[in-house]
Amino acid sequence: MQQRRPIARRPSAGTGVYLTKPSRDRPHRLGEDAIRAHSPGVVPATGIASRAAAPVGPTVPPSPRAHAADRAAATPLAERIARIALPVACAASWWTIAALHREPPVAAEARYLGLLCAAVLYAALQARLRTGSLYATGAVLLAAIPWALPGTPDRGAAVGVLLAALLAIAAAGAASVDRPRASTVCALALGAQLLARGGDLLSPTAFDVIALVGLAAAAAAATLVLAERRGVLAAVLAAATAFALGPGFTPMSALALAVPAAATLAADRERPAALRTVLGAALFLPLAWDFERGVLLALCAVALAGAPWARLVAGLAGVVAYFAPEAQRFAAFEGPLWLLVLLPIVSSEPSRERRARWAALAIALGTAALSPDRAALVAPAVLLAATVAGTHPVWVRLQATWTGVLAGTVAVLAAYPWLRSSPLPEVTALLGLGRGWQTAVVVLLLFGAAALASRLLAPGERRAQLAPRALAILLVPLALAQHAGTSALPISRQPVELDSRRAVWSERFAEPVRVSAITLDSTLSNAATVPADTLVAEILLRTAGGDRVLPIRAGTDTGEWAARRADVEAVPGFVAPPAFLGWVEAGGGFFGQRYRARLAVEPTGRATAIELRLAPGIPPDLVLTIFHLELSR
Amino acid sequence: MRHRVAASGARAQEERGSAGAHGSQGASAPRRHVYLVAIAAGVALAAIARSALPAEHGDPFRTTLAMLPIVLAAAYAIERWMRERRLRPLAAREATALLAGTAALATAALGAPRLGLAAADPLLAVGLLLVLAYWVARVVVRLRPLLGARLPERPPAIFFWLPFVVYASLVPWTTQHRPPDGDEPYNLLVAHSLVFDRDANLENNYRRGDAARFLDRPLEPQLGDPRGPDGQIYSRHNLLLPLALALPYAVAGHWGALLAMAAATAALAWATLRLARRYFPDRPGEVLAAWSVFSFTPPLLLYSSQIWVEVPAALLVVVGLDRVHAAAVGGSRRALLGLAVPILLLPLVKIRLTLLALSLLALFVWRSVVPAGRHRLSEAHAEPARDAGGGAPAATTASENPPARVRARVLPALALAALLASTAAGILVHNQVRFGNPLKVHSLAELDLTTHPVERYLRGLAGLFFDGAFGLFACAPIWLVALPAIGVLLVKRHRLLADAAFVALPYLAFVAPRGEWYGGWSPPFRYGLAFLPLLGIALAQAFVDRRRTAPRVLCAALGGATLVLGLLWVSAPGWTYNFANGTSRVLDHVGMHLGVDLARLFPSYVRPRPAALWGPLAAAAIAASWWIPALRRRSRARVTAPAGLALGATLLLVGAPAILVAAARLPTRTVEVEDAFVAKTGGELNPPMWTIDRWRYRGAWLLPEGERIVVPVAAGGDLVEIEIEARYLRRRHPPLTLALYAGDRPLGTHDFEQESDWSSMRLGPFPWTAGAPLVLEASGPGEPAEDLQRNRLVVDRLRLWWR
Repeated sequence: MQQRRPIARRPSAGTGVYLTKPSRDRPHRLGEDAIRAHSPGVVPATGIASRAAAPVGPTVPPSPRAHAADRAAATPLAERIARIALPVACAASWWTIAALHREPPVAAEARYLGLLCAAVLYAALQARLRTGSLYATGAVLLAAIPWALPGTPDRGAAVGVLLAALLAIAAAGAASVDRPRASTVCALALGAQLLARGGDLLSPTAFDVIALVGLAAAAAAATLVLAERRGVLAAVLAAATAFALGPGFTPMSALALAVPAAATLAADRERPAALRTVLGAALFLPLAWDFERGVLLALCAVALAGAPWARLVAGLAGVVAYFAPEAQRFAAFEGPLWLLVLLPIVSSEPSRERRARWAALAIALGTAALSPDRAALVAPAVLLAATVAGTHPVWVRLQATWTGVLAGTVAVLAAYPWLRSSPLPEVTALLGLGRGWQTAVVVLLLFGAAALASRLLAPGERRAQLAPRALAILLVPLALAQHAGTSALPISRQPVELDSRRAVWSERFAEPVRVSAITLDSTLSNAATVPADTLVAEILLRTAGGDRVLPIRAGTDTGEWAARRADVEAVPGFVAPPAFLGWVEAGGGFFGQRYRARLAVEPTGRATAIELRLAPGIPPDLVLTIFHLELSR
Repeated sequence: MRHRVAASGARAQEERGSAGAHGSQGASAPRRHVYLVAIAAGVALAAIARSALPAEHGDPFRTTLAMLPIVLAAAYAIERWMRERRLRPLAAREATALLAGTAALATAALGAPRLGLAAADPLLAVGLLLVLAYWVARVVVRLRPLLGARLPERPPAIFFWLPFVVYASLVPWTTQHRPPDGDEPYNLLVAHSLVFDRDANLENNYRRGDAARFLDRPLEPQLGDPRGPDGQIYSRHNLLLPLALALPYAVAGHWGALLAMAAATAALAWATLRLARRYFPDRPGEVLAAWSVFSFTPPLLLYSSQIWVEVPAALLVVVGLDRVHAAAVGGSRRALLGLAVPILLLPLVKIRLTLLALSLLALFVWRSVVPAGRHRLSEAHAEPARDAGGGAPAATTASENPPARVRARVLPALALAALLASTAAGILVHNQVRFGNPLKVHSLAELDLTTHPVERYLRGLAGLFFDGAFGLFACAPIWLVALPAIGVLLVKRHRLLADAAFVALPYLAFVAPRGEWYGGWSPPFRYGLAFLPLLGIALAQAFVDRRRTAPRVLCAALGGATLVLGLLWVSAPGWTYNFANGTSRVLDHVGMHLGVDLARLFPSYVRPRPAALWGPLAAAAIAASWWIPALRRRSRARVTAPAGLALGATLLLVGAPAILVAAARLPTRTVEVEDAFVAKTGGELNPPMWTIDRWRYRGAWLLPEGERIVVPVAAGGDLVEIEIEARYLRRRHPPLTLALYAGDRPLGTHDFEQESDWSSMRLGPFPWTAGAPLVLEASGPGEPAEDLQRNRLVVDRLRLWWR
């Protein structure tokens, strides 16, 4: 059973709330304790650190009122005004454009993005003690986007990347202090949640808003508890991993953080018995929400906070699940492999938490065997992250960088206009890490190569600084190598519409171009009732070796643009492929969708011309809009 | 505050153990070979990248990304140089974030076509620019200790290399997106002819299409280019700049020429910092801030990767001014020779720059000869008194001998005047002999300043600074803070203003009344660039007050606007080129998408309108607000630097939409129908866009039968009278009927029967519904047989009289 760890708290000159002063006075970076601990003769003093490295000191329970007063004293009135005024002014800039724009979809999008910008910017500003030039610049750039970019989805992509960058800067600042403030963690969690789950803000009900904020608050509270009990590094990794798997703080990812946090508190013998009983009972509440996931969460909680035999039991339960009759035993290995992809640092960690880690891997195995849903892996991932001690500074930096890359990219892909519901596999594919078990191997090799490079190129403590840069540099060729070059781009900026009046579009190339695949971004209009897998169009590729015909099928390669509209969704048998991009519909009620299909040309050849034509027999009012047509080598 | 800045600089220098202003003492010995190895590695990687990067279909990033290793190597060399001089290094986390950001953006740039975003290229370019801007900002701040407590005699070379790296890194992107334009290709073609033909005759180069080496379109001689007796075609531009570019062009083609221009611009930046010590020697912090604005914001940033004579001219002016002061102080031969170089070269760069050479000579006389003469006179008056007193005159050396001293100043002045006169005469004779016109393509009448009305002077002078398309402040609003600084300098009777008056006023007097005061087909503030360094130095005075609330907030607001515009100008280089039609690319872009006549609220001196007064008024307001007293220091409302930045950004974010709302809500009174915010179903611009001296004509829209114009209108009352200024071009017998609608509701019609010159007709009054657009539809009784037979109405403007 865990013993409650004494927390180092130094009463500040004012109210005794801050544990240490902010970063400007005492810069302290993620994993610094580990670096110090790694150096012989240096005793770690404060920080994120492993539990063993935690210093001993008096405990001063924070008082919210005192905290607020202290913060008010630290933040001048003008700055507090500016923190509110800046997001409001940013929103005003968007909404002014929205009020005047000639095109209704663009105006609707501007209204939505104005709200999103203001909300996330406000959260990012609240996460810092000082506004800083970066945030002022970020706000100006955010507000300039609707003036410079005429329409969707470029604006959405620019906003998503910029907001993610601002949150990342705030998160990096928060990670540089010994112990982040509760308000900082809450603000960061809320900002990240609003960005990743921003699609829910398009036409939200009160419940949607409460759920968004409530889940972020629960995740933040759980992160703070985990930070106190397991160290900041473990807590940050757990929260970021849950966020990446969510994406964002979904009920499952928030519970995956909250339940283990509650379990660690319940296991604390210094807490009042009544509180421990209530918290212990609360561990089983998720059973009422979803029995299977509730069991999974309870197992992970027990494995984290329970006695060694409890961890063994939790691990055994995972193994039993793997051998369940309906289990997919081959696919189950993806579970532990995804955990390794997310947290490769565990391969370098000492065996102190061996049982908990094996339990996490066994539970992941059992979870993946029973369910293909990757979001369910969030519980064992949080369990595994909570065991990270951060003993090797190079690996700490590598893991922090890697988690930042994953969480940041997931946030961007989950945000408008990409709106991915499960972005993690796409992120790994985008980075050129392959699929399935290859991903885990490539990630481990990357970490090894970056660690080796830093060892060869830098002495002493500078290795930890160099390692993330080596990782970043290694990722570039890897990402590039995975993507074939473009040989022609017949349609890219100006969309082409095919309908009953104009059923054919063609282009002849000046020189023959080599083609191994064709990428097509398209939508269908008035196609809600078209049965799935119906041939709606064909691509005719003229090559020296003869014509190649590539079919385009509804529901597979393309689909109805209004697939998210309630009446379309309700059409019996309606199917739409996963969306590539979304945009705000003119009424602002739902997201329109664009679909991407990658059609292999086999055998490869050199094309002299390309033709698109609607298939005969399709409904006369059906319209196929092609936004992007790319020929790859 | 001044003491604080100086003291902090000195303290920082002491702390870092660099006693010398150059910061080299006390530092570890620099290892030059490391820089060379880094740059060589960067060049090698760039060469590999250039050949290895996939030549994507129309990939706009290929050259930019190939250049990236060189830029990274240069950045590494600069950081290492700073570390060796014990300057604060870049934080490891910042360095990692910058590298990771660059890597991510470069990767995304290579896959840009696959992102499915129409504006992916400029967005990614903006991302890379932001990374570069952040690094430059961090470097500039950390360079402050190098300047010490008093500006050094010669600034360290880093103040050349840093701008050079920035300018050179922009060259691939700007060149790919904006092939040489305006005068640029002609300068390049002359350089090409000098290198390959060893002559200045361009006839064979035009015939062979040599411009294809650096241009994606055929190049024709400029209108009025001088011709030789045997069919030779010469350029109207002087040979000195192409001559200077010939060697780099011979080595590396037009890339070499562009990099040479980047080097010249970086030299200008360095020389400006050097000149600043003549005016603000004890304000190194403020001068550094001013220098960074001058060097890294438009318009200099835009000209750094282009081939115009203005940058070399500015460089020569700055060198000349520095030498004027050096000669005035010491009168050394070296200083005089240094002054002779710009006086000799300026007329050779461009004939109009002779005025600047003349100004430099006059300034030398005023600063050097006149004081010596006064001193001589005062001593001559004092001498009889001394004799009367019976005292024996003291023994004098030759240098202390007053007449000798006057002689020592007068003779060089005479020599410089003779040099300038002989240069000018040589140019005139050469032009007369070679081209039959001493002024090449100009006439003596152009030199007669009395022929221009005052209004043209006012338009040109105000337009150079306040014009919404070509003015300095529209291009980079941060320069507005120079106005309060000039006010302070005026009160102080600072010598900078006197020098600026000597240099700029005669030149402005010549340039301002010209028809093309805006510089023609060029980026903004072309003719002002020669004295921009002086304006940049004046900014130092503005930054003296930077810690007060109003300056802090205003600097943040104007700086934010400059950042956004700068990113726009660099990422979309074509947007800096505006047509002289009273609006600009930016205003057209916003107006077209929003259906708002935004241009009417921005001053234009090409097409003067009431808003032309707003520019100077707004500038006066900014200058006045500079002196708003600061909030009490102990107040809870104290505006810290972060709060000031945030409030400035808020001011900008509120101000810009407010202008937009005003443009949408203020009653429409005048409509220029050719503007982009007016929707048209057909027709064309009249006269066509590329008409020579188009500003001389009425800008109008040619509306054929069957087409319509839809004008967004902000109502100013319930009744409106509509005045139409138009002319009718008859192509066939039936008359043209112009029908007016308020939205879908017909208002009235007017028949045009006889072809007419410009005339004005007033229709109405009509009842008006707020929110409805005004529609003008031209129609005829029947469909013509062919398009050329359609009658046409050329509509210049509409005036709306509200009741």
